[in-house]
Amino acid sequence: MRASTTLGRFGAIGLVLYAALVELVRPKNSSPEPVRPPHTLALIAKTVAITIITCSILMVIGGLLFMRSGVYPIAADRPHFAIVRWLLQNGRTYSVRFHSTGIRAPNLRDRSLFTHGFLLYRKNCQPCHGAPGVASDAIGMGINPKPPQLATVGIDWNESELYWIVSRGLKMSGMPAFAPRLSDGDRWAIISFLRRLSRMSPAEYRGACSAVDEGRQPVSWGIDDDTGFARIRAANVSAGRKRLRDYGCITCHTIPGTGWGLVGPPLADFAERQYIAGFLVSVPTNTINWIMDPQGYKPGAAMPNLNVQAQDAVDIAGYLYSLGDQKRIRVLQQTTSHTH
Amino acid sequence: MVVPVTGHAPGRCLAVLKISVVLASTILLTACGREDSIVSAQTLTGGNVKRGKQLIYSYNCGSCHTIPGVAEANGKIGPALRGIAERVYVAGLLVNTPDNLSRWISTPQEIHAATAMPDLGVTKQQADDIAAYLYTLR
Repeated sequence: MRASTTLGRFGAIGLVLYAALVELVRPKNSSPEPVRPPHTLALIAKTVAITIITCSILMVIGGLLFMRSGVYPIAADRPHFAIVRWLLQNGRTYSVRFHSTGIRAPNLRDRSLFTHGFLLYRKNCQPCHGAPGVASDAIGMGINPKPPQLATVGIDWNESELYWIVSRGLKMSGMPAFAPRLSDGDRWAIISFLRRLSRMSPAEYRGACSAVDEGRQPVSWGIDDDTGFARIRAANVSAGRKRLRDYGCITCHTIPGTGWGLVGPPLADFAERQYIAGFLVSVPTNTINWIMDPQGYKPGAAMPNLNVQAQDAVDIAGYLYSLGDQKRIRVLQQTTSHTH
Repeated sequence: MVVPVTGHAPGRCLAVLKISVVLASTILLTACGREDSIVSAQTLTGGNVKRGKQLIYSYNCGSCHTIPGVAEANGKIGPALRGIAERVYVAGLLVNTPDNLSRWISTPQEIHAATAMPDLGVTKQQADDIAAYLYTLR
């Protein structure tokens, strides 16, 4: 049905309804005697009812006219209005949560799932979502809403929700429903791989891609490395804060609770950041090692070797990981703690 | 006795006037300051601030970086770009000059092969535009 026909019909119905309402409330008493006004409460109730109904009809008509005019911008290369984005994002969150309840994740700790998941990820997810050190392709770049970085998506969604999103897709977003083209097992393998992805450096990802391309198996996922969370749980956070001043870190970095430096990047919300030094996945072990030997990791870096003692590095890391939302830290610990 | 037209005492009128002048000049001067930073950013980089802001959105830089003034730019993968105009180094390796910043934006992996920042296919002019916008972030 064409929009103008619908508009015409709505308009006609609206007018008829309005006329009927007016007719209803018109005093019908035509006696020559003066008519007493109806009871005040009834009058108020009628006025309110008519106002609401009239306004609703006008709003619907107005809305349809606005839509018909075509003025509302829908180009993908411009962001939504803030209120629209708020509605869409929150609506999406609550809807996915609601519809994914009852989905029970199978055991995702099986390392063989990682390889299978990696191959599927590379083919189906990387084009739009990219990967560590790898950009999305032209399609992924042009999509609105922007495909999020999947290395950190586990912070916002649990695994049942992610499985639901991969399986069912999201209307009007460009995120496809991968069921039934990908099997149940395939989709869970991708979710399992996302755990590994959350700790993958660009070099590791590139290495896995080369291994596959050259016919080797990317089996050495190397996640037996100690992430170091246990070490910083025992750190002296207030000592760490003091050490940031002692070692002069604050002359280069702006760090909440300590000082103001503009040479290197700010370290606010450190716990939420995915990489340090631009290429090391932010886990305590990497942070501690970086603090102790930046030149060893990134020769020519502006950050000098300051001869930081091991315990001081642990305490500093302990303080830094206390900055910002702790959700990422919790999720990392959960998804890697028992993963062989 | 003078009867003020407004019905308020003359002293109060004067106070309101003074506050208005201070407020107006603050707003105007702040706007001028912002105008100045746009002009200087564009002169330094040879790029266009408005185009740069749009390119940042188009290239989805905000999925990794938190960038003031750009919609949906709240990524925590890379460092926040607040105050990047005043930072001494870019990517921890290059001195923060317009050319270096532009080079980093267009070919990060030529400068640091291991970096998580991907090669996005940003052209030189686009990189200059993006750098111009970044140089307004103090």
